[in-house]
Amino acid sequence: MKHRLILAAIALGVLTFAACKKENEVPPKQDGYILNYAIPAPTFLTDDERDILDAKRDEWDNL
Amino acid sequence: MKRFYFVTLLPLFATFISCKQFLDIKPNGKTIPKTSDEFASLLHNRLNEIDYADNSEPLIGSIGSLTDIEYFSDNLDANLNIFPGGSNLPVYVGQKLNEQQTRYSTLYQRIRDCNIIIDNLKTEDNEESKNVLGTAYAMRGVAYFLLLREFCEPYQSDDQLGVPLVTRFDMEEKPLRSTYGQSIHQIEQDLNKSISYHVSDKLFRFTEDVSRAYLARLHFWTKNWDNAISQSITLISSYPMLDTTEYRAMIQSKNSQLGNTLLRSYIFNDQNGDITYSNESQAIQFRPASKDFFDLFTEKEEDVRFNIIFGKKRINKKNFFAGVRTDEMVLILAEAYAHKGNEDKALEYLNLIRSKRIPKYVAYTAANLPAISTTGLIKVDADGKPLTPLIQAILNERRKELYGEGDRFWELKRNGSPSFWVASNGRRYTTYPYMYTFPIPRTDMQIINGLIQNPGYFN
Repeated sequence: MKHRLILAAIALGVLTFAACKKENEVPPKQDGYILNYAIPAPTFLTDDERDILDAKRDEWDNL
Repeated sequence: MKRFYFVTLLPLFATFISCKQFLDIKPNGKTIPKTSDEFASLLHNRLNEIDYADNSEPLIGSIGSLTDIEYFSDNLDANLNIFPGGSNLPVYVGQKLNEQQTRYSTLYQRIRDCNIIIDNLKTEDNEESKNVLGTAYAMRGVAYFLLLREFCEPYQSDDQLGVPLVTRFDMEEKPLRSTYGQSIHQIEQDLNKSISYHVSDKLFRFTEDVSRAYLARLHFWTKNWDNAISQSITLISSYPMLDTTEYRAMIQSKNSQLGNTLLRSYIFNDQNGDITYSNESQAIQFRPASKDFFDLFTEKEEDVRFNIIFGKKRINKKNFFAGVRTDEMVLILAEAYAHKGNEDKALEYLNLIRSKRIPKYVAYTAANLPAISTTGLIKVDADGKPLTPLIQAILNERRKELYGEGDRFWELKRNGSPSFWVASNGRRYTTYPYMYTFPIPRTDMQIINGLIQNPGYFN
């Protein structure tokens, strides 16, 4: 029984240390898996901007 | 019993200590082509993508990539979108910035293929080997040029950030960004090497003249005016500007490479390509041209381009076109001479292009150049100086000539990267100056320590 335990411990040790050559070769873990960059959110149009748009649309409608 | 354990453990022991590089996925020469025929077939897979205008083809582009670039610019007016069809069109560049990360990877995939050929094709003793090597160098140079233009800020000095340079096939290489000067040197070296092989077989598409045209584009982008002039003069002496009838046939050709076109995509049609072409051409109808662009055609119908471009209510009629033609070189000459202070030569080339497009044109002189526009987006030139009437006239001529060919967005970037906004669904979407330079992919930023991201992309 004692021999079995010793052999099992040795086998476990070999498995643990021999298999992993570079145990840290994966990139560091990130907080989240994000692939995109944040783009500024659109803003609401002001009255002046609406006037500019209306003028453009009127000009085009009247072509 | 002891022997049993010994016999069981020994193979286990051998198994785990023998595999030191079990994750090594380098092909170690096993999958590398050997003959020039095999290398040529690797290359022709990529060239076929250009010929059939595959949507993922990154070097020359297809109508899909081309229309996106036009939608991002001020040639078409997103404020005038026609609904419901127009609701599917990109409103502004911000909407597609993250997609450009894929483009970055695709361009590096082309560089990888070229590296495999350049590293491993050792014989240059037959015509095919020379054609394959010449094409591989040209494609690598073009890929790096596009990366520089799209993923680096507009050129100001050799010391600013360039692109990571990979010149040999190594899947584990993780290079940092070079300087702009080093990137320019690499592109110049590749294109010159390609020119030295004198590729003339049209089957290989990237002929000596195409490499020369990209050298002219590189020198123009990096404000090396003297070299831009010398390359452009060589090209227009071999491929002069066309007269009206030939020009119209070239521009409106759907699948033929005609006239002074050196390279274009979509010279063969298949079902997929035709469906994409038809869909994209229809989609453009939902966004009219901007008034600002329309008003540049002061000669209206007298200008042959006017009727090619505009239908009723400023709806597009031009066949969008991805490629290189030497008329662009005339515009490069005009601007390069203007930046060098040679006004006479600049006017000579500006008038050359006007004479070929406007049969009854009135030649521009220093005295009759149009006044500076107060409404145009571009306020400064490539050097950051306020526009002069001459530079403005050249930029306007370029905008008219290269409309629908994916040029204007890069012209905005090169000339001050102006901020502008468009509206959609009651909201204002702004193209900020940083958006002209696309983001380095997030995955690369996570894997490569020390890689520097472009401004504006932090979260």
